[in-house]
Amino acid sequence: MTALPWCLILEEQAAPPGGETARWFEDLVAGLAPRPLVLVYLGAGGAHGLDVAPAGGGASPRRGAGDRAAETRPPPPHVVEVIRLAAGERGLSTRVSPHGVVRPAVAPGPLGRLFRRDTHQAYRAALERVRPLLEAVARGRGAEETTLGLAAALEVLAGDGPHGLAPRAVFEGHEAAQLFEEISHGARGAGGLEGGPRYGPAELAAAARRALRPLAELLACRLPPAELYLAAGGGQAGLVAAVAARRAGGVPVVLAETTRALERRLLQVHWQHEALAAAQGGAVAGAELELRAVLLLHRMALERADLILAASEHDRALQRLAGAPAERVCVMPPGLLLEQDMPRGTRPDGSRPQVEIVGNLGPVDPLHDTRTFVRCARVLIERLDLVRFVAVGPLEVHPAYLARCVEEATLLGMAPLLRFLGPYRIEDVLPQLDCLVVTGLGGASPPGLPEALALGLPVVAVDTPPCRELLGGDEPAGLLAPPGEEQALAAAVVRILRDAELRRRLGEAARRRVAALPSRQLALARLAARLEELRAAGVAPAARDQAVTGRKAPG
Amino acid sequence: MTHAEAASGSLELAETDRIPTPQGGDSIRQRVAALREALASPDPLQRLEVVVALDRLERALLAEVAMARRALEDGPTAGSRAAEAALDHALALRALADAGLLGPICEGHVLEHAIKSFARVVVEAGMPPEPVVRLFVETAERRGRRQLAARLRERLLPGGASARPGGRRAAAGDPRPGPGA
Repeated sequence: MTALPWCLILEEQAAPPGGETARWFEDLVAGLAPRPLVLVYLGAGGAHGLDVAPAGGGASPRRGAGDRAAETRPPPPHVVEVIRLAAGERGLSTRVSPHGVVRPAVAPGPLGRLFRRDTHQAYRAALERVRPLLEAVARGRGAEETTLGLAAALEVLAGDGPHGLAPRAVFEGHEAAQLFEEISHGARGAGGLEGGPRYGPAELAAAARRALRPLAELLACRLPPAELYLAAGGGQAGLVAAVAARRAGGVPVVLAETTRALERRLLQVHWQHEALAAAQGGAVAGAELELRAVLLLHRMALERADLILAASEHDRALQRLAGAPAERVCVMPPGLLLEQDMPRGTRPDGSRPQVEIVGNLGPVDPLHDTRTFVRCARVLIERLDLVRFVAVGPLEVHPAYLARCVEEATLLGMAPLLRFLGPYRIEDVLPQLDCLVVTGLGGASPPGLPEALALGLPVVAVDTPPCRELLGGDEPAGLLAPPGEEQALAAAVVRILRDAELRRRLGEAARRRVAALPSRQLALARLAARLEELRAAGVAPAARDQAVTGRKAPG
Repeated sequence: MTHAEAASGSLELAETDRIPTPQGGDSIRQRVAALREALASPDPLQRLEVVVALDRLERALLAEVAMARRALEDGPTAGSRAAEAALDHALALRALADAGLLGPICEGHVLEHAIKSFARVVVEAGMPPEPVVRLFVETAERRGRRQLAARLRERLLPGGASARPGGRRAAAGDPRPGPGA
């Protein structure tokens, strides 16, 4: 099969529809036209395993959360194939595309086949190759410890090589249970496992099934050969891209939007465990193991990428903390979603509104701390006349949190004055606002903040490193307040809205601050050129060998 | 009706002991304050942990408020069940305020809300227990409503006058100034 130039992979679990990453991915797809593309969406599966659905054909019974938005319009003409994969925690079910481009590397067979005498030794050998990965999850790894030695485990999980296994074989069966037992008791070797709390085999097995099995099912699917794989997401997307690139002969792998993806995956693990605990009426063990697994897989993906895109210098530092090799991280801002200065606070008919609108952008979830915005709004109602509030961003990320925000807004008597609008395009929302309040606590650049600065929109933000990078300094471009402090945030909003001279000064500084940032269109054009260079150059054989196999090149 | 008479009726004395009083030590307020300080950590993974812990704490407190509200709204408008529900509501709101999760304005708002809802019950079911009255008096004073606080203290606390101009509305804690104010 002829290789297509590009294969783009989006980890939908880490990129809610209407969120920053999903928007960037959508813009990237449009910006790469007319290059032929294959798009792969990795969604969250149901409890029963993997679904593979072809582009626009056949309804899958289990779709990822982002599927609805993605399927509302047909893909652009230069997208030759759209592949949707959703891996779950238990079992395996497959639906093969009629185009024949996606097939599990190892067809699911009867479990008994695994225990035939002639395959028994191979099975045991394969499990031994997975052992270092499971041990790394069980004991944790040092910040400087590389994951390149886990290449063999990755190969087994992917169903490749002489010891390839079907995903379920790694986590089911007597031998697998014995392996979990050995690892959890530190029975291997004389000294056993060192450091960290010990876990029972059941906890370890459950954490491995939740964290590794969906990945194994995704890795077992053969993606179409391409000359470059770009993954937007965390460990899952990055490793799917790395394995596909190896199968395609060692082509380059690019990672993007990894910081947001890692945070979101870690939060999801917390939420899933809380939901499990609520359902079972008590605490569920193994959350820490699963968090470790997520961090480990993320690091594995970073170490196997040829180019890692960082949105800012602060983002680059975070990538390094997560394990990215310094020389492969490249700061390439995603670009501003505004082409030019747009007049602030104008309605479509051009009239200046009488009511001041204070907005908050980003998914409604604990990481964006929407609840602090609700409380800040309550304080502002007492201090400002004719003010309204909008929270703009995906609502379905954490439905229980949204319900609590609405509950609290009702409790505080905010119902008529505060609206949760759902996702809107940043460039459509920002010109309607009179002040942007940033409450997000994440490590990535807050949604809409650079665009707000470009517009000269007054900004009040929590004092976290990404906000400080954009707003702080000798000539501040906005006001900063301690995170989670609604009183301080509200005081800053009042100050900024009531002081025209302060607004003018901050606005000028803000425009200067982001003057060097390119537009989204230009940023994507630069990225496309960089990717073309990478694709043309390929990957140095030595680097490729080390990245994929974990072996250092001779000499 | 004196407080003692009211307490011996629809509400058990033991229940009034459930009113939490602010005190030192490892209070929820201190835990929340410590967590909020940690939100400023430069380490994003640590911030993430704090976000989860803070959310868990706030969720537990808000769940109490929501449950109490539902009990208040679903329960009968008169009788001991309504009074108990109103007390639960006041308790939950007090816990929320004690945790430092509501700023002064928000705190005042929700406690006034509690006063109003409780006032309805007072009209129907009789006098509230003393700790609840004290809670309302403190809130009214903190909010600068001295006249209201004085009226509440006079009429609802032991030793206060039981009949004053303003009628039932004032006695029930209506924050609007009565005709005698």
